[in-house]
Amino acid sequence: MIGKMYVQAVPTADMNRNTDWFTYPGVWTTYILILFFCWLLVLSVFNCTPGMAWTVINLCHFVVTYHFFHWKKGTPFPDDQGIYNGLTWWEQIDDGRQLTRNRKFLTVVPLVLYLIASHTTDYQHPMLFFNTLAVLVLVVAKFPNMHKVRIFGINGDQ
Amino acid sequence: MENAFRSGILAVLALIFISSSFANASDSPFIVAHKRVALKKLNPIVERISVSIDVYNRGSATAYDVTLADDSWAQDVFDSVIGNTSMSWGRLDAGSLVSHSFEFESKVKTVYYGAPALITYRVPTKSGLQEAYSTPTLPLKILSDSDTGKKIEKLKRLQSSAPPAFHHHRNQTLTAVRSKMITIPYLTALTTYFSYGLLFVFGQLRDFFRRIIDLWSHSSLQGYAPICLGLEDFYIRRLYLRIQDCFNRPISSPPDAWFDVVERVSKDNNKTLQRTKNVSRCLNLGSYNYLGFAAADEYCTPRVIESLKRFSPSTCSSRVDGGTTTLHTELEERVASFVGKPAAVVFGMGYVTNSAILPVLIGKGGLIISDSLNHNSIVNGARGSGATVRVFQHNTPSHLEKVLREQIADGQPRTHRPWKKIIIVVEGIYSMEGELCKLPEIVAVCKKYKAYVYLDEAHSIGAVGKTGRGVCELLGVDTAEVDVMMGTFTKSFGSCGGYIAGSKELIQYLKYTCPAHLYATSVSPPAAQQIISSIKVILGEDGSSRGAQKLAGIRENSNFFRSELQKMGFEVLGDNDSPVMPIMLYNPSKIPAFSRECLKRNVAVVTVAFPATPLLLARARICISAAHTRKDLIKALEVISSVGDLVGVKYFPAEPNKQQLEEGRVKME
Repeated sequence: MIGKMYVQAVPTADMNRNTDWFTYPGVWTTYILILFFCWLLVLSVFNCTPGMAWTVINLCHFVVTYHFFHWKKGTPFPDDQGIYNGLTWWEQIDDGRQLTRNRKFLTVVPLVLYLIASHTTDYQHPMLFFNTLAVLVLVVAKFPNMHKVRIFGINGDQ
Repeated sequence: MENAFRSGILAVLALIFISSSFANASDSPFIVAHKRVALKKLNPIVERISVSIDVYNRGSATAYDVTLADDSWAQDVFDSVIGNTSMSWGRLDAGSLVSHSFEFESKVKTVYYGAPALITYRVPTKSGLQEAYSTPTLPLKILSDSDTGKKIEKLKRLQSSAPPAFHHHRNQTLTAVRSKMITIPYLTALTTYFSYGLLFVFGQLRDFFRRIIDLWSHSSLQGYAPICLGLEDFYIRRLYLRIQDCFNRPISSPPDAWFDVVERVSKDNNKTLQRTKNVSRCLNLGSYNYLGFAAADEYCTPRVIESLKRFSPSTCSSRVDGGTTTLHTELEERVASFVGKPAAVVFGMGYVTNSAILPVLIGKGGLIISDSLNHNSIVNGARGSGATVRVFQHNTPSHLEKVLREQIADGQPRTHRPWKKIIIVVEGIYSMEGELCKLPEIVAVCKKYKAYVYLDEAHSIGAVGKTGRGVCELLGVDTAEVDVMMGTFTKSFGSCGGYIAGSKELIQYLKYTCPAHLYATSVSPPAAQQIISSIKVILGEDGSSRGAQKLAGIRENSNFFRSELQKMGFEVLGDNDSPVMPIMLYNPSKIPAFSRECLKRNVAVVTVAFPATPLLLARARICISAAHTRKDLIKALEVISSVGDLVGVKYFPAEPNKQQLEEGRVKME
């Protein structure tokens, strides 16, 4: 049944090939499904409690998304002649416009993960501390005011 | 004027208004499933046309009107013989079919154009009558050839795409230019993202370990900056190199309908490839060989060899120094008259034509608005010009108008002064989509806001249009309304180089400012002779009808191939009459699978992936040529069908093979 559902891909006006894939249908669902699938994987491999698994997912999600969204700059192909070389992926999406639907979704995901992780671990230490740290860093990095801000010149252009 | 129709295939321009009287009918139009037109010559003066139409109700409303009318005919030219030309309040139950036939005689000697039929329907809602367009227009031949059952399925599927925009112009040829929305199965979208994510993760893992290992090794280039900073060549190293045997395949014969592909082997898992001595003879579905001039031609090649002997392979200088031969001046005159403009200038390379002309035409303080899917040469030229570049949604004149209005109101970026010049850049056929440009609407928008139109006809010149003159002829746009027409000779003329055609003043200006004219070597004389000879063949000036045969051949081949592929269930993009047809693959693993399996079966296709196309929308692009015979196309269809089953790219349901007998139909002659 689900194999028979079709979606229409509206051609996007986003010129940046690094980010235009995020405007096509199915991305949000894939993101959520990957997180869920990884949780199942962690549960089956490590044989831990669901709460620990969610904490592990939250922290791995923090590391991965911080690295790829807010640390790595530029695009993985040379075709655009380096015009985005000073911008992280987060600063590139939606052409730099703030508070679009995609950005709001990406801000909500770490928050929801945090809530799930802290709820399923019953708000115990030390998991709560790490979870809170992760979500604080991620959400602050996604603020509109942090667009192109490099604190203390960390990760700035050489 | 009304009597001066040109002879050709038969057509009647039928406008049929079908309306339904129920308020909930807006989602369920009636569609014309089948249409037959026949022409009988009773005597040299009088011709009788019979039109029979099957109307299919795919909705819930049951009342409809049918009218046969055309406001471009003179009403006194025709007499209605059988059947009224209109019928009101017919009743048709949901899901059933009804036929109507009209017959009329012409009172004076006239001959009719071949043209597709336009069907519209009217849907009343509470807010009033709205006009809506039902089936997209299709060429008459396609409508009348297949049987009704298949037609209904095909039209139902076409119905689900966006409503067609169309236009009606002077010489009565009507073509639908649909902005076709790409329809992806949802599961395929999810799996495609997941596959790319997995490939990305593995690439990053390998990069990580490579960096650790490199820490231990000593590099002889201490202190030098790296050529690529880690992220820039990631895609090439980790994704492209894995499947690089599908790209850059060397060939060892002219790219005719069949050619020799050199086999390559790799000993280190596709990181490097070595050529072998083996060649395999493959069917060529990838070359831009639209009219079949790529291989030796009986008219062109002897003349090219003669020019080679007379003028030598290269002029060895730029146009202004010593590189203008009589061939070049003759070529420019012929190109100008072929395209329909007063003057033209030719350059040695097609890519350079765009990237060297745009900076000359516009500079800082100007505005370039280009289609979002324009070719890299245009993007390069636009960036190099220094003008502000804005992009409008692909083939959407309403979005173009919105962007134009915004930009004109805003003015230049910081000073808000009015723009010095605005150029809109569009292409005739988009090579990755196979779509025709919505040229009349775009030209209308540009005229309204007084912007210049730059049309890049690289793929459409010589390949579409009745006499091969490109999209302007096909869509009925006057060439005087397009300010700059650009094209290349690589695709339909079998040569190399590009041209710009425009007014005499524009071309004169270009000749003393354009760097490609002043400094680049001019077109090689044998190549110029090839272009001249191929233009002569296309226009029939060589004394034979091969040109017209080639043009008809490519049109028939493209329409046949596309309709057969769609019947098999592939998702094929592109409009009818366009020789470029991309087959959607989506998943990154299907790209090499499709390519390699086709090569094993001796069919060479070109597959395109990210970043030439958007991430999700990888495709295999087929280019049909006039040199393909029906046998070649059938073999290609069999191979593609079996590979498609193997790889799993038949995303749409295939149409069943039902034969329906129709009695009492007048066959089209």
